Amino acid sequence: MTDTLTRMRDTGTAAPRTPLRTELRRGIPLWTGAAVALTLLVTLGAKADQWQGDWGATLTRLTSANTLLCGPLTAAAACWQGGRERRARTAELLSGVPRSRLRRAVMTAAPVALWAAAGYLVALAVLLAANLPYASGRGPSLSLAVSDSCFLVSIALVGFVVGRLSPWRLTAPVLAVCTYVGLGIPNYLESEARFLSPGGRTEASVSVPVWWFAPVMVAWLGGLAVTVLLAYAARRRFLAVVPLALAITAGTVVVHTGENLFRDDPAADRRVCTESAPGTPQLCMSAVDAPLLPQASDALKGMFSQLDGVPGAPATYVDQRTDPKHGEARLPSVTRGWGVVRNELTDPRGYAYNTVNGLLSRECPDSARKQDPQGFDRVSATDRAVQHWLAPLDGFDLPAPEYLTRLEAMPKADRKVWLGRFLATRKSCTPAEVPVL
Amino acid sequence: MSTVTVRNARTVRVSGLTVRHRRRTALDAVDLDFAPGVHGLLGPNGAGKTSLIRVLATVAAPSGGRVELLGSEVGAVTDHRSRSAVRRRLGYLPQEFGYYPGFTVREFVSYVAWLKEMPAAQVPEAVERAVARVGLADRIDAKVKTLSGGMVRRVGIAQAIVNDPDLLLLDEPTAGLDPEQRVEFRALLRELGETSTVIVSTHLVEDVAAACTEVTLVEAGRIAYRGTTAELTAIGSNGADDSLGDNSIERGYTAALRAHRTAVAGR
Repeated sequence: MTDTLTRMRDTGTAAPRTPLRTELRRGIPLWTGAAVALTLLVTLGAKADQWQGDWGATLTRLTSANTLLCGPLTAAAACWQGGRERRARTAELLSGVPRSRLRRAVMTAAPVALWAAAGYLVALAVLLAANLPYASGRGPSLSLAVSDSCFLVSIALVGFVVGRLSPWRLTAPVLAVCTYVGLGIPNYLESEARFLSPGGRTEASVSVPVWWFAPVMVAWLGGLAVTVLLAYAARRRFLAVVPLALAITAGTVVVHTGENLFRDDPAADRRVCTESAPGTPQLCMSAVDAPLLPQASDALKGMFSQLDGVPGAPATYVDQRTDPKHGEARLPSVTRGWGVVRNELTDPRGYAYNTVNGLLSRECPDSARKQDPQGFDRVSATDRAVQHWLAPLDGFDLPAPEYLTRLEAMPKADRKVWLGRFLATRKSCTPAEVPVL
Repeated sequence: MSTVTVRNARTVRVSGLTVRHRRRTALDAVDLDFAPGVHGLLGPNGAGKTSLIRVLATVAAPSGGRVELLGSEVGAVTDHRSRSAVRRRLGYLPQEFGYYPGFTVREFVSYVAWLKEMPAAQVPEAVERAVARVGLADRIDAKVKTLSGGMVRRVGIAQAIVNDPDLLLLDEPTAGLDPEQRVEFRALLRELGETSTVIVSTHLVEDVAAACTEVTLVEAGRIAYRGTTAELTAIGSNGADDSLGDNSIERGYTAALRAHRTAVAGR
């Protein structure tokens, strides 16, 4: 044995194996990180059409998947790690060592927490990179990323303690189910308390968190986790009241602030417009949707051509977030995944149809329709003929042929005059005011 | 002169030690002391050997009595700092040795070194030395789950000695070792006993005969016999009935045990 020892010294001592390095490389923690990254990438990758091009939508969906899927997964993995001493039968050995129970617990739980957070950050980096070529306006909100990472670290610590207290093999899956239910319930609450859950926030597509959102969520989530850890492992357990007080304070701030944790996104409110030119109305959209402007202009080119020179035709088209003023009309709403994918209009003809539909829609009460049903039938047929003439959509909402024929047969100058009179009454609910076609 | 003083210093002092498991008394007001050297703890199943080892390893708290280890009292509710100080100088191999199968031998023993609060700079060399002492140097970077039962037991011994403990407590350390490994292990015990107090709980009387200088016989929670290995062997040599065992120390063990039972029955 002495010879062997001499040989080992001659070949030099291997690099030191720090316990954290060992814990990070062995067992379930590494797999937890991979599972978190994979879960987020697969879940969001399957619905890339719905978020690519919008930083806010990306982070909202990421947070939701992180909370509902990776939260339970991390809790279960940490719980499994917590039960390791029982499975490995090392509890007897560990109970006779000088290293404190708290430091041992942190050393064992930390790898799961760190790898879970690392998995999240890897997924975040990939998703943001996938978003970069398409997104505009403001950049991603790092507050949500900090909050999400802290959530995973916190739930890992809590899951670990559960595993230590109940080191049975079934505890981990049961905890995963309970965590899923517990984190999902706030989504169905109207109370401001739903904001205590990282997944209980509002739509981040049109809003951004306030600057102190990340610190207060770290204090809330981290405070709770440290409280649980200290109550379980600290020699002086009363110290747990310090993070508990911090968590309660932060939680109170969250509940009292409620929806005001998020403010309107300045980029969503900022208008970006095309340059107006003779015969081409101006299009205005939120800065978030600004990359769509060239596509929208192309899609509406035919309609603009038909309306060129028509008196009273809108000079400006604005998006759904803006109330149109006199002489303006609304553009149809754009929802990523439905009609818009990676800043491409998937159905330009449908977009033009919807624009005209919005322009010509009459919001008339039923009482008005009952007073003059024949008149309304005529107006409706006229509307459909104009709709089709401006932006036809094959096989959909076809007008009566005689109406369309009459419109097409009009001399160009007469038609412009007639269309001017028609557009002047496009919101009228009195059939007698609408010119006869 | 000073060396002699250290050798004779009592590193373990136990008085009135009582351990109860629910209604059963595992140790009944035991008085014991140990000095540096290798001490065998013998006795039948359920005699209280493991209970004694666990109390000395500060793993279990006694129900009563006083326990002083390496100059510090570590009984029931004692000062946290002194218990930690004693634990840094302890080595313990439990009867049921648990390990993390995914760790390599080096990683596992290093992990235990960290648990024992060894200075980080000393750990790499101490780990290699401990692993070499148990004859596993060529498997130091193998995962523990790939080792045989005997090798795993040797990993257990390596983790117990990684901090060069002043008090080493081994509960059934030779279980699973083949004869050659046991011979090597006995040599290691003798080497360790030159500077440390080594207490070995075992069923194997021949291990005690080969490696231990003193023997303590435990029976039904009480001390049945204390003496040197030579004295116990002498009991078996001096006209003892051959039916008591195959060799002198086995006969001595059985004779001492029966004498104790007779004495207890006569009270």
